[in-house]
Amino acid sequence: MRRPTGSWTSAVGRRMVEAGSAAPLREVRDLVRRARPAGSRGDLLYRVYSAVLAALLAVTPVAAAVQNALRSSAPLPALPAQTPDVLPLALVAVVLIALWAVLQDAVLRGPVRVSVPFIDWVLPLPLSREAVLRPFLLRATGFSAALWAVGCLLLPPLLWRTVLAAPDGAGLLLVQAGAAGALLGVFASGAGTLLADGRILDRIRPLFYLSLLLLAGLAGLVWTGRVPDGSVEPVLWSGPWGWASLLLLDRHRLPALALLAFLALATAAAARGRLPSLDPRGLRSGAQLASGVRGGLWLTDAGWFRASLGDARKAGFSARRALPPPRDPRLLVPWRDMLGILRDGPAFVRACLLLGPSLLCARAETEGLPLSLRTLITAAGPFCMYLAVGGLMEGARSCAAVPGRTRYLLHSPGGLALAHGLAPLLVAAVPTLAWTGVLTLLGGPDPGVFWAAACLPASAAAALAGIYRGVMPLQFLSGFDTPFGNSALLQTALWHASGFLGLLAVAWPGNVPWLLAGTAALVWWARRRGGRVMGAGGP
Amino acid sequence: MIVECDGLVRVYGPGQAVGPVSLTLAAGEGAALTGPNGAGKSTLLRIVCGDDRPDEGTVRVLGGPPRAEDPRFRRRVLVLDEVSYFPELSVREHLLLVAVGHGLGRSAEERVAEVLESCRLGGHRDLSPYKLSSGLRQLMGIAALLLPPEPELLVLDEPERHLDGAARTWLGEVLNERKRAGTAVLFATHSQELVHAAADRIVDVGGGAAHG
Repeated sequence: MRRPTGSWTSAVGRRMVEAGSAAPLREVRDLVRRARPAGSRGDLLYRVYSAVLAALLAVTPVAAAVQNALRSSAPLPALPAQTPDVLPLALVAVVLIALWAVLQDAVLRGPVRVSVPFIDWVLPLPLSREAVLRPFLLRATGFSAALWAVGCLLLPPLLWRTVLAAPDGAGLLLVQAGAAGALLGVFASGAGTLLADGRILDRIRPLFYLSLLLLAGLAGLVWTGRVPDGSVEPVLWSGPWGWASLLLLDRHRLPALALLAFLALATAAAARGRLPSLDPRGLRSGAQLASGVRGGLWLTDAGWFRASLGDARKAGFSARRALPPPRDPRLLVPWRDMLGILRDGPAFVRACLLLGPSLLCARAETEGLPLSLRTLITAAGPFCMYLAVGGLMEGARSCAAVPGRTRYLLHSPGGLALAHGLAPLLVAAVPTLAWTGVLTLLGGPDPGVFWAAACLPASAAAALAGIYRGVMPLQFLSGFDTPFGNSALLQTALWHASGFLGLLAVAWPGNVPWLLAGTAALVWWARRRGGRVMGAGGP
Repeated sequence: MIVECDGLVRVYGPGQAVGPVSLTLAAGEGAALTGPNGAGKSTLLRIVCGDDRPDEGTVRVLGGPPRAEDPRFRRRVLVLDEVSYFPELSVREHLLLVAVGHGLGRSAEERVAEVLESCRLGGHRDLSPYKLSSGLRQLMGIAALLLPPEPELLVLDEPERHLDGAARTWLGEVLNERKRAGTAVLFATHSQELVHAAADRIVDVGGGAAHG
């Protein structure tokens, strides 16, 4: 087994080492590429084929919709007169939330997508990491630019069919919107690389939520006409979220585009400089998470997918936020869930933010609005509540993803499944009551608001039922042929949305006995589904 | 000096800290970090490799602060740690990757063949690492460290992990040979055998302040 390892210092070796790193880099890349088996190349071809097919299928209806929007002379739907005034703020909020989501993704899955073996074997080599990682950054930036460009291309036609009249020269505006989207994508990718270690993002998280609250507050003031004209203008110039909105609203297009271009290029250059100092351990955990998420998608197991993201996010908690453990073992699950919520501040803030609009939707004056919009607003209330309560149920999600985690608990599987709803329900009740109080104080008692608040237990049960849906049956992917086409898409969508649809069925009719019976049915359903999932590996 | 650590402290949380640790390591010397699980041995190794930063104290490697992002630093400091593998690359191709990456060029194949034989991996050269036992995979990691021609510092985190008795003895000899060639060797270990075989000094990390 022995060999004279220390004596191997041949002149050839030394000469090759000193030859510079460009040639080895090329060779290493070739080696990694060349060694891919034929199967991987087949996968790649299949992916390209799928992407082209999806693009073709998506481009035709989108192009037709855009053309319709440009040519349509139909009048805009009758919306409240304040809608165009509030629109800029809504756009700013949408762009801000999308940017935040991209940054979160960069922290969780890494700013560049590199495989774990690549990180373990290629990054430690004495090659320039900037050169090694540059192609990955370019790929990520290109993908991000394309995605954002498509998003920004779709927004103007949507606005022209609902809120704003299409301006003259709409074609040029569309091109500029696409360019703005691409620039936002470049900026988002670069910013994700710069903030990849997550500490800065953690620090500015309160600012993000505060910004959303301020935007919501300002929107409320604009809606009620309590602020003078022009008060929205500073928000639109406050950053890339506003510049993109300016362009979409057909205001100051060229300055906005120039600002976006400058910012995108500067961020991209800075991101390139940041590549050598990216922490390989961070990249590695991101790559592992990304691979887990991909696995979850293939298993069509959205719960597992969410739990993977949740686990990664929760790993950095502070143990200073603690609760004394209960003496009664039956309270262990609510205690653990409460602790989880306590340590996941953003989830609570999100729930508070979502419960407000949920109750506001119940109070909204929808008389005289188009049916589609009325339906949308009526469904939005329960949807926000479902999201708010569901966001507090990471405990249920993590146990459903890995039922072995419940092995030490003595509950029955069904009881355990329901026990995970207690803490989120109690926690969500606090902001629900607070919002109800505020809305009642501001506008007097409103039966709609009370009704929405009463739907909270049903929302919790529905969210539990949704979380415990398990792995989607594979036959849903193939579906069956009907006179209206294959049922796979509908079946898949219904399966994923089953919890929310259950809540909608219970909450919509506005009848108290129906709500009570429906809530009981949802609880039974959650218990049954949860019992099945927990029983798979639990006690 | 290859490694100079002075009063290194790394704080994890309230009441949890590693160090202070002071350590110097010259060319051709070997130092073993010992201590119970969780004592901070791996953390100290990561600090020396430039993958982590101390909260207190100074660390200098090869005359300056460790810079893992610098390719020249990575050429001179080689690290053995737990790794993942390319499912589509064989054992030989993994090692080839390291040899080529370290600039061995045309001599890479020859060098890889030599190291494979010396590590008794020749019979497994065309297998996926995932087909190997954990001990053979550990040997493969050690083999990767033997490929580059003239490292100045080897940093190994529990290199004896998964190895049988004979392989541990071999590992001690390999590390000694590296030391004789002028390479400094810093390793964390739970193996007394390896400590006796390759360490010129022992730094016990578990008991508060440590010097070596």
